[in-house]
Order: sequence, then structure tokens, then C-alpha cells
Amino acid sequence: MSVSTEIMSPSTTMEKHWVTDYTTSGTKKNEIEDVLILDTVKDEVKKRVIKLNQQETLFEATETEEAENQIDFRSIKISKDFLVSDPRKYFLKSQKWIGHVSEIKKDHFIAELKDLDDPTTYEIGEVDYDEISPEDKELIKIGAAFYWSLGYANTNGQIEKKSLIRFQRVNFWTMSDYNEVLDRADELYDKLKPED
Amino acid sequence: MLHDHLQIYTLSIVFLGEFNPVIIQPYWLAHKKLIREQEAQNATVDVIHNEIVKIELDWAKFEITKNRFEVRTSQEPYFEPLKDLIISIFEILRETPIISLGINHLKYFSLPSEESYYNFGNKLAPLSTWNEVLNDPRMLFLEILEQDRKDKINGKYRVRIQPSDIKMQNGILIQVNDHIDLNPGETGRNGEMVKSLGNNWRASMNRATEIIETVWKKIQ
Repeated sequence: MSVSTEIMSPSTTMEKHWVTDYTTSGTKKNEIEDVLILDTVKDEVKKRVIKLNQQETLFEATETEEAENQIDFRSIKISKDFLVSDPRKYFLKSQKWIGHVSEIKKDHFIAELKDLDDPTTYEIGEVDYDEISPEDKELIKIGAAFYWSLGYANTNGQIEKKSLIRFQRVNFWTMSDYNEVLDRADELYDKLKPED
Repeated sequence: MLHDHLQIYTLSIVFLGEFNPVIIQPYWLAHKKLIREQEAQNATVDVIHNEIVKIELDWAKFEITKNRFEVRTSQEPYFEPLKDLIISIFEILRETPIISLGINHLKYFSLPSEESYYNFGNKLAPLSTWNEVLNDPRMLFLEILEQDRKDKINGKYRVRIQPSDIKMQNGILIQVNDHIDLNPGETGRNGEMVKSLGNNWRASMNRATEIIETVWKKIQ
């Protein structure tokens, strides 16, 4: 496979520029400049909105040559970096669990952990409060859910092995949440019911 | 397995509908306790305009227009929180009409050699067909569409394969668009697509992986 090197013709449209088109006396200069900046922002916004509407739910990974050839007026343009996956910051090859707090102790809590890639079994683990982000500490209570990931983070080319815990912040239940709770209730019932 | 060569996995969730972009701002998200306050303080705001909003948290990027809502991340630990965040936003904004959902899986692989890179394209689209009429033909872009979904969900399933647009040794990008539409009779005003995101989430992740591995195995 090879990457295209097709070059598209640059636009020949003259962009408005406050230096060539307007007088620059007094305070009016700033107002005119602001109007031109706003006009350019509006144009950029319109182009971006039209392009996104054409994509529907597709994620357009590849930037087009046309966008690269746009005239850069006073650096006001939509960041191109947004349009592609960010190769400077990503986190990969992670093992992921969802945990539920089952007991709260003085300096740690105990949780049931389910592997998100294999939720058929669970493990019990202890988590120190030192591992919890300050703003998540208020979310620690019996039954609270959190995500725990272990993996490799690449930040601007530096690879680090990372452990990341983030408490769930939701105001909803999905069908799979209900099913999980029902399964767990069945398990507990099986343990509690008297033997025949 | 091809996933042994996975380098970057970007997840993008897209809703189509009618949105008011300016509602979604970092401090609104923090005020509703959907993200941490520190995350709101550190957020980058590219544009807040009544036609488009672009904001970036440390782990997620938002791009919202009046008809399209998209959030994405390249950090796997945040895939579940991303799903939770979107569902929570639209639990709060439950009057928002949403007519379609797209779960996009973008997987960048670095193949082990130039030979395997060439063979990958050659096996998917046999280049011997073109050898007589083109000099040294190469596959540039392949897109396969499933119009009538195997899982009977109303929508489409699309797989795109192309060279990686990120600099990477023998890099390929496989992009899966898992597109779900409303069922006949649904209006999109009762949270149908939001429920669909929650209910189809795990299946979407699994199917994208399964398809890629099945195709890889077939062309070995």
C-alpha cells in the first residue's frame, strides 16, 4: 500500500487583510480588526460545520490536503490536531477492571474487581486511599463503582507503566448494570439458601 | 494475532441530532459532577460559538455542532468513563432529539515488516488483477459496508482499511464505524439512542476486535 502524494491547487481567493483594505487611524482600527477576526472565525466555523455534517457518524481520520492549503489569517484557525488520533498522548495494552467498594477501612477500602475483558469471575482487592485522586475520595462509599487500568502510557514519546483508578460518575443504569446486579444477587442467594 | 501489533486505539462516539453546542462547556460538566473540577480548570477551549464548540480535557476531546456531537479519546482506561460521560450528559439533557449513533473504533497497527505490509493489501485486494494495466499497483483504501446488519440492529456497519495517517513503521489504520439508527416508530426524543449506546457498548467493542482478527486470520 502507498500514501497518495496528489497535490491540490491552492485557493486563489484573496483573504481580507486589515492592513491593505482599511485605514488605521485611532481606536477604529481595533474595532475593524475585531470584525475581520470574527468574520474569519465565522468562515472557519461554517467550513468545519459543513464538513462535519457530511461525515454523519463516521470519524474522518485523515486530514485533507485542502485544509492544509488554507490561508492562515492571524493564526485563527481550527486546530488540525483535533482531526486525527493524537500520536503524542495515548494509553494502550491496558488491563482493565471494574471494581465495587465492599468495605471501607481507615486507610484503604476493599473492593470486588471484575476483569472488563472477562467478567465471568471476580477478585477481591485492597486499594489504599493514597491511590485515589483527591476529587474522587468523596465518591468512596459502599457499592460505589470505579475503573482500574494497568497499562502503558505514551506521553510525547515517553512510555510509562501506569496504574489509573477513576471512580464512576454516572446518573444512570444500563441494561448490563441491571443484569450484573441480578447475577450477583443470584450468586448471593445461592450462598445463603439452606442446603436441601 | 493482529492485535499483538496494535499501537494506538482511538474511540470516537458520535450522535446525530439537534444540539445546542454552547451548553457543553468544561465548567458545566464539572458543575454537574460529571468530571472533576480540576479537569474543568485544565481544559483547553478551542472554540465556543453557537455553531460549534471544541473543547479538550486531558483525556477526551469534544466537537459539537448543532447536528453532530462527537467525543473521542485515545486512552484506553478512559473508554468506559467516556461512555459513562456521554450517557450522563444526555440523561441530564434528556429532551435532546438524537436520531443516530456511531461508535467508531480506530485501530492503528504497525506490521512487522514491509513484506507483511505489502501482503496485507495484496491479499485484501489481489493486485495481480491490476498488474497488466498499472505499474506496481498498491492498495490505497478499502471500504466494506454491511447494509443489513448481521445482529439485526437497525443501522450499518462499515470497515475501512488504509495506510496509517500517523507516522508509523508499516502502519495501517483499520477503522470500524458501528452505525445505529432509530427503529421504525421511534422519534429520538425518548433517549433511544442513549440507551442504545449503553446496551450495545460491550458488543460493539467485541465485534470490532472479532472482525479484525477474523480477516487477519483469513489472509495469513
